[in-house]
Amino acid sequence: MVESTPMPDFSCLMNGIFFPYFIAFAVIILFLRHREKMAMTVSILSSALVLISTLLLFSRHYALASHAESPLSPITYTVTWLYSTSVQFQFGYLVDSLSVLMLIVVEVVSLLVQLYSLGYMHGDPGRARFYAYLSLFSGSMTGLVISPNLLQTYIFWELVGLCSYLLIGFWWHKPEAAAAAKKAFVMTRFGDLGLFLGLLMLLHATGTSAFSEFGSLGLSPGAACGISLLIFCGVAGKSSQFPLHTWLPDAMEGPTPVSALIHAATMVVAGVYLLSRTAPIFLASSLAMEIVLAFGVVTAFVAATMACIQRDIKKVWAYSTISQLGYMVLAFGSGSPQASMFHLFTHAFYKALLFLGAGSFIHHAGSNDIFEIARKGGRRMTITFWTTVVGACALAGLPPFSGFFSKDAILLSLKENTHPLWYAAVMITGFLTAYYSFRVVFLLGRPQKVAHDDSHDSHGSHDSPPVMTMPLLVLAAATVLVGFWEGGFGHYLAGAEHDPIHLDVAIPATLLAFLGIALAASSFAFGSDEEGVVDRLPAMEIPRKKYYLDDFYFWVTHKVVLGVSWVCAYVDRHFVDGAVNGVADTVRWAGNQCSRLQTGRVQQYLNTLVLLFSILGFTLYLTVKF
Amino acid sequence: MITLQEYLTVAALLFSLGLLIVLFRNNAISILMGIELMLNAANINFVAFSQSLGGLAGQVFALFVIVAAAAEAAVAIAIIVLMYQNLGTTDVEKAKNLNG
Repeated sequence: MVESTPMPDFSCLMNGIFFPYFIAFAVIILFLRHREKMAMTVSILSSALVLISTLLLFSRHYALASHAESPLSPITYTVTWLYSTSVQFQFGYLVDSLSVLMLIVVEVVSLLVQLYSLGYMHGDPGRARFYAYLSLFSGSMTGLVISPNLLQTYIFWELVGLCSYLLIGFWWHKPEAAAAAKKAFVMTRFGDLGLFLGLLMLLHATGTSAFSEFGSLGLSPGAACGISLLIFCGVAGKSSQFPLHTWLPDAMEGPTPVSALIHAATMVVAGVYLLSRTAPIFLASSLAMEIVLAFGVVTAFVAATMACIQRDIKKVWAYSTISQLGYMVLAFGSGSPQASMFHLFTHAFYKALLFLGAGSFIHHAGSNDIFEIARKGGRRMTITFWTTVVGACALAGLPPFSGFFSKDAILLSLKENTHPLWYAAVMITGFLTAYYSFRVVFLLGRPQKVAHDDSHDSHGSHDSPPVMTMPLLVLAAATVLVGFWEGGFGHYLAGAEHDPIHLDVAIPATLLAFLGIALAASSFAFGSDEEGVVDRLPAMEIPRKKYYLDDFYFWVTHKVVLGVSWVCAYVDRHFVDGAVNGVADTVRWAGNQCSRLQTGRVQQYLNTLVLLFSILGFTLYLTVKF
Repeated sequence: MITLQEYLTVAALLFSLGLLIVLFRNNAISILMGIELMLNAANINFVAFSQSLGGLAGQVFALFVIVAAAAEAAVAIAIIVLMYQNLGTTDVEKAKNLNG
């Protein structure tokens, strides 16, 4: 490792962060596939090691940053990996406040998910494989977070996509899981194509892909716009922005801990992280920022409407993730990468909490259906239920939960920098968010009419084992607390001064959230209706049909693609093959005609021969003078 | 004195006769005889030129032709016998298995 700046040496810590996951993956895959206990121990120990290294790194880097007068410049440790006359690629680590904060999110959630999986995957025959994939997944995300240039990011970006494929399709014997895995892979690959083209364009235009040089690229606005929109394609695929979001709800086919990992730490936030990393390119083009903003708002709103009508608890949280990712993207588009990162940070904890809670319910009830979980006594799983309530409060943006602070920052940035229309749309989305998150809470928490569960379903009131509830409690504590760290976060990330809460934004947002909760309460808290006012709106038919996007993609793949293939097949069969066959037929016909000359009668041949020679001789006699 | 011209005329007549037989007789043995006539017409030419120009090369060639003709006759007659065994005839018009 070459140290490029006279800074304290973090390279040893970075090795401790980067390598353990990959070593764990290799060891498990090669040696421990049939020794599950050992495999799980190796995986969890490596995860713990990474988390400890990350926390050490954070504490040292944070101390450094708080003592420095100016914001710290990024520290890179690299080795030259590829070298040519025009470009050279470095491989290594990048330490700055952005990557350190992201590492905390990734590693905390990874470790908690791995612990939780001990309970959730109990008795599953593929646990060793599961832990190997989890390790590779977290390792890839770690590599992505600390990569110092776009090419290395791209490599780990694809690795993350691969791992999501492996884990969504973990129960590969279920056809839906296999299909969902394929869909996730294809949809994100579709976006990655854009990212790759953006990378090539960037290399062509500037000859570098190192993040540290992004501040001084000097791109023309047109080039910046093109490159940033191509990068945004990749972001939209990975962070499931409209209209490429359809893979994420399907990805719920994977085991629930994987959903938590994907949604909170290792997959979808990679896109938002990449946005923050490449922010200088985006900021060079106001058009690109406008487009990013528009996509973010549309995603947030569309996904929120779809979350309102789901019966599957995991799907509600999946759509809410899409919606919250929309928040992050629109925060970025409104010109505040800092708010975007802060929302990523808070969202990671409460979304991991909600998913792990959902997993706990599902583990108990054996079903994803909210009504089924409620019937099987979900409300008596005290820890799971109340931590879910905490998560829902944060998701709805109620003070003093963490979601309130990050959404406040986003709304403030929107209000100050963009058209009021966007602001209004996001406000309405906030209302919907509160509605759908508390819809789940009320559906799970309301008294059940059927009381006979109490008598014979004796395990009904038991909560999940401690190995599953402990991560929930940790995450709930984080959800409550991290919001108050907004000032420190902002200062650490961007050297910004602490922005107090703006009441002109916070009060209407909170009122709308309470309105949403009231609507949910009036629809579901009393009685046992399965449908509320919102479900009966005729307009909800559109979200119920997923905005016809799946139908559209189905139409594209089955009608358009097959139609084009049919035309190609027709041309091939009738024109290309026709030409070849035509030549062959002509030759055969000519051969048949010529073969008539061959009568098989020797004397005829001789006659011809003599005649020809006579003519030849006569001509020679006439022309050549002897 | 018989002139070269007269030799050549006889040879030419003999050759034409042989050629006509080869071309128009159907019997394989007749055709073979026609070929012999043509070869001997050539021999007359060789010998006539040899006499007229002096030197022995023409006569040697004539001897070679006679040898070749003998060998040819042997092979041809063997072929004709086989042809008769297979087709029951020596008519070359009937032997046209190789037509297109």
